[in-house]
Amino acid sequence: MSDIPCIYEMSMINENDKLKEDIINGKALDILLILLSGSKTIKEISKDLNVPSFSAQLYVQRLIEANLIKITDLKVVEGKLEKTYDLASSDVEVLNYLKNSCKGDDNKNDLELSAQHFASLTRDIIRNINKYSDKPHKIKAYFIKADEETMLGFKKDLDDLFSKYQALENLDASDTYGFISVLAPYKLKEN
Amino acid sequence: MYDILNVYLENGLRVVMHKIPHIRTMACGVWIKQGSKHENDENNGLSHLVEHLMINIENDSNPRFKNLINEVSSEGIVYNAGTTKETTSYFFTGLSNMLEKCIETLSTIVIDNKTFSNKLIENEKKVVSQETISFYSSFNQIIERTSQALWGNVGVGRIIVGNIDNINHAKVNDLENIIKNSYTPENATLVVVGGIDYQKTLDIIEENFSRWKDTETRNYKEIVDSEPGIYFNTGGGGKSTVISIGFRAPSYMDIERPNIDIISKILGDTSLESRLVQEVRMKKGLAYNIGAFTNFYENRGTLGFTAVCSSESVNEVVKIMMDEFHKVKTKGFTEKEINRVKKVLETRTLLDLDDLTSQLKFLGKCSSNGQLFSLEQEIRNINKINSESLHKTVQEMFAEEKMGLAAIGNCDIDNVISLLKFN
Repeated sequence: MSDIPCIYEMSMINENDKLKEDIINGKALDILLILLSGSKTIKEISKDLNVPSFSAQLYVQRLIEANLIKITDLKVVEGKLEKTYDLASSDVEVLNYLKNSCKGDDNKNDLELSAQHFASLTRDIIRNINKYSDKPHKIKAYFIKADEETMLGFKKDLDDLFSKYQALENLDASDTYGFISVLAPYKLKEN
Repeated sequence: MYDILNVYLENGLRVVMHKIPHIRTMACGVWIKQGSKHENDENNGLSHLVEHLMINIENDSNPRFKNLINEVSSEGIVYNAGTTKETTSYFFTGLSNMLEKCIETLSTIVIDNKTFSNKLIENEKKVVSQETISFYSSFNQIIERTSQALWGNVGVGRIIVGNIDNINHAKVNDLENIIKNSYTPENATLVVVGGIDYQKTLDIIEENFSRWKDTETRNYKEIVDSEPGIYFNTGGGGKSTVISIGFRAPSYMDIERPNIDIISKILGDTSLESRLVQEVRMKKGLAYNIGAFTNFYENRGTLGFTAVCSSESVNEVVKIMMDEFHKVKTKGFTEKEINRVKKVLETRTLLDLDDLTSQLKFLGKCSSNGQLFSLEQEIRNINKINSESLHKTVQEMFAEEKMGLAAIGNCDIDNVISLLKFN
């Protein structure tokens, strides 16, 4: 067989910058959402995603390299190494809030905020804008050139806004609203 | 009749002898249960480096070996050594009258080599590094990468040549530890085949190997990843991609092993008759290199199908491969295909029977795996294979939960994995 440049890396996945594209495709996001409901093994992730384990491992590996998830437990069961994965950081605030909301509270089952369904719920929220156009709604995306300090201020304001309305939640209300925000660097100047 | 004598010396060394009447040649070797599967992230590759050092004729720390190896070489003895995922072996082939010298030489290799000079180590590190770089610079690594994908970078998933950094930074202590912990009589098997007399051979063995001290062997528990996975490297962005679809298979001693060999040959043998060669190469011209391989270990095995093609053709090649797996699952194999491949395997085994080194390696491998059987038994097992038993094996093997993928090249891996479906 032909020669190639020597592969010195020992990692199982070594590719170009695929992660952004994959998150857009929703697969990486799906794994993040799956991990909302707690730690998962590859077998569990592949079952939830309905993909073979090798496929789940590709996405998991990308998320590990992006420092979004991490291995939190390693155990050997009958000679087989089981790795347990979890979200890497508690700074994924939206996800953690939902996670806390989901945990051990059967009264909230009707909200269907399980991690596995979150991506489809997001799509549903957007569809509902048209369906319930008389109800409060807003989609806003903005790409801003700004320094880090300004954005830290924005993040703080966003946190405050979340806290304010979380505190106002009325569990007896008949309507449920969805609010999703993403604030992250889009394009940074390379050093 | 195929007789095999299996005895243990008092120090725990297993001795396996097979007498072949009316020949004047012999082969002998020692198999140590030390391979890449016994290594960790920090010493992956060092079993192979130790093998190189143990048989290095420039080793001044072991003058007896140096003299003996010169002596047997000058008498026409052919010798070699090898490291696998599970064993390190040293073996000699030549005339039967050299048996005593060869066994003595083997004993000096495994008993007397305790350490090496820094000069020897540094020189051999360069040699092994070059070998390792060659390995990682070739698409041939895809076979090892398939095992790595299927079993993880642990146990039999570990690559034999290992990590170049580990080799370059190896210290004498690291190598001494491997020898101390695994080069013990209870962790070794001595195999002798050919024109030999059992009692005389045993006397020679006792004389040379009884001095091997019965020291403690390192504890080892085999671990692999719980689920099969994926190996992917863009490989420097060349125009070609090598892809391997692998399946977790049973062990060397499993009754299904001959069936898996047959399946691999009907589907992916490099001969032009195999199904994948027919479909991918002969009909579509998509690839020159199509192949299949099986690797069987003590507790598990690997079946893989490989193709080297242009990066643009990868999806089409993968689709064809998956289509063929589907066809086999639903329609099975033809009697003509089965009979042809059974003949191929039988011929290969009979050719091995006529080759002393092949017989030696066969006995070395199966005795290291804890069981003994003959090449004639292999032929009996091949002949028993029929379409029903193959169908059963195919249904068990070709399943998503047993499948893994290895790919090196500039292909769209997300697209490729979306094609790998059985349901």
